[in-house]
Amino acid sequence: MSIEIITAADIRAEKYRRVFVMVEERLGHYAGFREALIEAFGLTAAHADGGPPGYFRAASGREYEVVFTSRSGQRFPSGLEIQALIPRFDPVDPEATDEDMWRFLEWLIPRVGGEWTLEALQATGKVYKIPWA
Amino acid sequence: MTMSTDSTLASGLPSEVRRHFPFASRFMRVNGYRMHFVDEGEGDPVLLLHGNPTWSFLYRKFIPRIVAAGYRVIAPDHIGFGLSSRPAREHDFSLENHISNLEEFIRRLGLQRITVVCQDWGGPIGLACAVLNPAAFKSIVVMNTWAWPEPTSFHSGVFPWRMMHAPVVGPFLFQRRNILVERGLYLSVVHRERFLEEALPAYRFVMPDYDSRLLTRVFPRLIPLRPDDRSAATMRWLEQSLHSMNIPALIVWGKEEIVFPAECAQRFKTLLPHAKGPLWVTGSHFLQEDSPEEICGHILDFLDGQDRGRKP
Repeated sequence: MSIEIITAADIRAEKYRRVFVMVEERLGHYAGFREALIEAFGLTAAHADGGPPGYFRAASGREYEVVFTSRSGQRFPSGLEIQALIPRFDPVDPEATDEDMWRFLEWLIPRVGGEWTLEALQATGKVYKIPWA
Repeated sequence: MTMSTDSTLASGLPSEVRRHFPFASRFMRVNGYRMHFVDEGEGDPVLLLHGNPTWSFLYRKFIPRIVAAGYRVIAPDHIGFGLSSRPAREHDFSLENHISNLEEFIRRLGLQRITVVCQDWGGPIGLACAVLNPAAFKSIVVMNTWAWPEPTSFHSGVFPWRMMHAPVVGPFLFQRRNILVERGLYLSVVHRERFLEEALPAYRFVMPDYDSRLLTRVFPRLIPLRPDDRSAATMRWLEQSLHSMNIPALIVWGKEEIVFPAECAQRFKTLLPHAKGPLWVTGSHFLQEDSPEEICGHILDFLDGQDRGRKP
């Protein structure tokens, strides 16, 4: 499995620091993405009020924190931030991180479903020379 | 008025960029943001407006030609592009904010008898300013753009357009991978080898990292797909207002354009039935890269036709 949803107790990285990867401020830009993430990460109303973030482990073994954000006037979660959990003073490998993010998208898009297909994602990635597409 | 050259930013342009863009960089504070612009020559102003993900560099071959013909050429970088400010939050950007930024820029420069030349997002932004200030505008030139709420077939499709800026996908492709600069521009010009050698370094230089690329992702999300989308009401207003304007207009379109296909040129002709054109030139979406000399010739002929009898 390319992406494994884990909890804080499952994190293998020790003495890690958080390194910003990317932010999405408009999960509601297209319908279906918010719901797919709610289901995949088991989000409830409690998560909007001080609950824990989500975590996942990529096939590479690298682990990531997913911080779900809320915004007045929008349903929770309205956005998310992804942070890499990197051993405290280790350097970051952006290309390896990007490969993990691509695998995360390949995992996410079929969960959204409907017109959002893995084939469309991979075809888009090929047009734009994403190495892992 | 805050208007200055910023020696740090301007001198930061590498020589390979500056060689093709030898103009003085000027800066003005607009709605709290730093706006970079080129202002060359004397005469009636010709306002050159770029779109996503380019900047005033796109018009580097237009500027000297139009100046030499006796016009003042002004080419700003929209906020979020080129050497202008880069707000860090998606919610800072809207079509209405961009229109207001350009409105304020025009007002503070005190421009009159403006001819606006616009492509891509330069269209809705620049044309809206013409609608808001009809007395300040002399004429309009539209190229590969749109001014209505209905999307083109290109913008309606999941592959590749909507997938590119879908939630979570968009930040990855546009900001982490910089796909518009690294690949999209290349795919949207005809003369690709020339583009790679001469122009890509300039577009790449101003989008060096994740934060600097935010607006390349936000602009696509502002294109309305449905009647209740964010920019739809403004686009409806723009279309209706343009239709009632009798301003001299020229339509120039790329023969190889697929983002705004030929039907869009015809729709402008319906909207502005008095317009000259469409005149078709070799060019994909970024036709300024493909046919600058030919397009400048059309613009100068058009301006000459209007100014005949006014110039000594």
